[in-house]
Amino acid sequence: MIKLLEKLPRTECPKFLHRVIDGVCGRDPPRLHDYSSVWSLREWLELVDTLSSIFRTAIGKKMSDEEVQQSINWLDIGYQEAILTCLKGRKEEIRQALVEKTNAISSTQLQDFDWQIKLALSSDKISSLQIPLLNLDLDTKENGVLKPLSIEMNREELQNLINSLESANKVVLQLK
Amino acid sequence: RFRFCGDLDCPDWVLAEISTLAKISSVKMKLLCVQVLKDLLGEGIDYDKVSKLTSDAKFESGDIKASVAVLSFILSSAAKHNVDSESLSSELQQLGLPKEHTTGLCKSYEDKHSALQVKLRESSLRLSRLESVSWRVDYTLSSSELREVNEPTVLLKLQVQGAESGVTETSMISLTAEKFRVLLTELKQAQAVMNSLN
Amino acid sequence: MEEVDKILIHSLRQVGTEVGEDVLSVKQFSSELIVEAVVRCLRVIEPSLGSGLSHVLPPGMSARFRLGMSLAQACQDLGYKGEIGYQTFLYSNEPEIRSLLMFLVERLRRESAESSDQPAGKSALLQRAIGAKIKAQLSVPWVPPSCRVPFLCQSQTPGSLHGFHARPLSLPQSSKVSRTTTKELKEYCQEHLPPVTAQMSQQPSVPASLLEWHAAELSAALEWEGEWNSQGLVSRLTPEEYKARKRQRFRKRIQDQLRHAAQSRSDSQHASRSSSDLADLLRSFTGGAGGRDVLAKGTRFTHTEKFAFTQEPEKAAQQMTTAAESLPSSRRTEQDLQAQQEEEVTSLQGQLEQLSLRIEEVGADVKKITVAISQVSDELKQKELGNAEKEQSLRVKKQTMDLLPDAENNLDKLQVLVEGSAKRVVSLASQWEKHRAPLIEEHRRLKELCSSRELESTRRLSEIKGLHEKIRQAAEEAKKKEGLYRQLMTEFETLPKDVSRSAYTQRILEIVGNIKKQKEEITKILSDTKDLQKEINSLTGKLDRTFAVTDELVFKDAKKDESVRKAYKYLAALHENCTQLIQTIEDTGTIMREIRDLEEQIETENGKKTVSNLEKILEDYKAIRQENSALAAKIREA
Repeated sequence: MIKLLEKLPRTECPKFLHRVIDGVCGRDPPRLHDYSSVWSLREWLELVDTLSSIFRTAIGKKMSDEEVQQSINWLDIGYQEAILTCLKGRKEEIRQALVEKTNAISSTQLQDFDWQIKLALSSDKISSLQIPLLNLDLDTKENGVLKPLSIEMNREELQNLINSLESANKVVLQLK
Repeated sequence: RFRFCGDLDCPDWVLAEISTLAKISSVKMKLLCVQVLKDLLGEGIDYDKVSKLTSDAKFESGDIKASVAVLSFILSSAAKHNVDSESLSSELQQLGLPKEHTTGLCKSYEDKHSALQVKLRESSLRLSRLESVSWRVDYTLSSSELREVNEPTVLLKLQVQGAESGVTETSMISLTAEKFRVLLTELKQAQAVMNSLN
Repeated sequence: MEEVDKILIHSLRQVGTEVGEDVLSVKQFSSELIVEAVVRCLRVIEPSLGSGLSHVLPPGMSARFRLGMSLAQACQDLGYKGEIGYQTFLYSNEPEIRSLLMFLVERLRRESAESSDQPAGKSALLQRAIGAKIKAQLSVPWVPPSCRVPFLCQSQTPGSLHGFHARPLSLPQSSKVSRTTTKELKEYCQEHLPPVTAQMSQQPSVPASLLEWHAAELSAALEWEGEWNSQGLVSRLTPEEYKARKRQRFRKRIQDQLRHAAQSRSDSQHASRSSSDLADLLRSFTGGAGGRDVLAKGTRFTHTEKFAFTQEPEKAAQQMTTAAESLPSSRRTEQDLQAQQEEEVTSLQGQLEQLSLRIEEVGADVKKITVAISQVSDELKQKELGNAEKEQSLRVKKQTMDLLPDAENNLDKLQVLVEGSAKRVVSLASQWEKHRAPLIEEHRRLKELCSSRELESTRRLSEIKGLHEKIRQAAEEAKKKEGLYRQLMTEFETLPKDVSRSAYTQRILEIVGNIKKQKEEITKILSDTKDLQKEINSLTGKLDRTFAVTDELVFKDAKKDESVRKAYKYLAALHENCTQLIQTIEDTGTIMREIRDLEEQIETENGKKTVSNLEKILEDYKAIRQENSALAAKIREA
């Protein structure tokens, strides 16, 4: 499988490999469109898959350089080096991505959040309300499906939330 | 134009029922006011007492309903527009409520003015409320993705009460330590903004 | 008067009255304008008074009358002393209106000065800003979505179309990535890292990602700083060392806990695979030299497990072979076969039960045996220890036994040996003393040095802490002051710019100068008048005296001469006439003065526009009559 990499000229290699790592790290992977003259669709899918899993396992299992080299030893030596260089350069980034992935193993995880503060001026019940409210939008991912959660809090509720988060943070701080 | 109606004309039905109010004695009306205020403050109204209060004026059930309705309109509307009891008194007298009745009504209104406003403030529309938060901090040692993770993760359980009261939705969310930290700092900023509002 | 009017009109414009550009003096004020100006002023001075009044003059005559009455009442409530009534507003005359407006504007000044003394506060500013914004948005008509120009989109398009979605970015400078940049990382950053804006295929998430990244970095830095200042500094380690130590401590804690959990688990009956997994994990987790003992323990568990697990397959194999043996010998008839098979099944089941029973027994035995083994091994160890002790004593005793036969000789030898060693001990002791003294000295010195250094470092530490505190305080103060400055700036900007104090003071000074000049002129004129009066008086006196002398002379001569008598008569007539003349002149003067007074009065009366006002009053009266009759007609109809 990995032999397919040799179809690409040696000089083009690092660029392509870095795009593959981007894909592993959760950004846009390389597109076949740019390399359609080199590989067919089938080859492309296999190659990208194999490379991604090599990068993932190398970091995930904390392999030494020799071990990595062994797993790709039927590749030309120049290509082997290219892979190793890319791997070394992006080690921390891949690790971070894998940490994120580990977190994604739980059922629901927080994807993004956003907040806004509103000042409620008046309501049907009272003409002068003047209450600040915080709208907290949480984008959670539940089994791969994005699920928005919106919470409106007044001052006391926000204080409550912050207090409990603060106490959790104290524990987290000890764990670092 | 009346201030207790929000600088609008007084509704016709209120005008009509004010004359009904004038039929009962001012003392009885004050007691009736107390009952209506209780209702507005969410303590419940004692209908037996109300009918007893209105019995000597030979009120029919329609009249009783009308007088309770008009009193609760006047009281809640005055509290809504933050009218002080003196202005309310003069405006009610303009509408034809006898002086003694007006004083009684305004006296009980003055007593409960702030409590009424607090109640109205509380019952104003809210999209959702945060009922409770629970948390747990996990320390991940290893996973199928990464052999040595050694990172803390935070699990949050949020109980959110929806717009229709009584419906509580519970959500569990897990956050990485970093996301958690960002969330906390952002929330603190939000709080600072909120506190600067008044 | 022009100055006063200018100031009045300016103040009224500030309050919100729409005074036209061509209106230059109070004389030109119409009733509508007067009512508006007064109501606006009242609203500012006393909101509760003014809010109930409309600033537009109503069309109905009776309503106008009522409005005028209530305005007059409000002005009197404020403390206006002058004559005021509905007629002041409806049938205005210039001086009255001027004095009323002056009174109101004066009140205005004082109120606004009081309110601007203390800063308006952030919330008030915010309220005002909200009000202005809502008003502005309400004044813009709604436009269908397809026709919106960009500035309308902002206020009329609901919400932003893109949510806040952050995605991981690849940036070289980051606390997540360790500071030590490797060659490979550098190469990547220089040659292959695309710019941040090109890292994302969806444009809207670029700012979001950057913001989140920054927030993460910032909060991490802040958190670390806080921790370092509170705990790290006191530990007197470099940041790296501090981190390493903390991590180590924490690892140890987790390790202990895990080991504890693993132990209690293996004690229970389910010494299943998970515990060996855990042991594996523990081994990999501790990794370094610290994990040896865990490893040893883990192997003990795995030993017992191996033992338990290997026994089972053996038994299974045995069963298989017995089954295989019984198979070939069982080839008879079908029924036989079936019966046999059933028999076999039952027997096998029996066997199976037995076997499982045995397995259980054996398992229990194994457990017992393992416990026994551990006990025995403990005993063994103890016994071995006892053995070693005993061997030691045996050796000593054996030696003494060997030496016993030649007792005398050996005793002497021993004596010599003892003495020699005693001497050696003494010499060694003296040598030791010799070495010890300087060493102790050195030790003491070093200790002192150490303690002094420690003191120094604690002092420095506290200094550093103090400095940190100061820095924080200063930063906070700076922030606060900046906020205040900004607030004051916005307030300042909202304040009207065109009121320039200096212009006012200059004008006042000018006016004062004018007044002084006028006063001087007046005193000059007064002194002139006095001089004139004096001259007149002296002249009259002279005249009187001359006349008396002449009168006497002529009278004396008149007795003698007829012609002189005639002259005397003429003189008397002359005197008489002259006196009359003077009288007339004086009368003319007073009359002239009276005329001037009257003219002035006429002027003021003209200012009051009495005739036109009267006409107006008549008209209004007619209007009221009409309204009344119309109302009466309505009532009759109803």
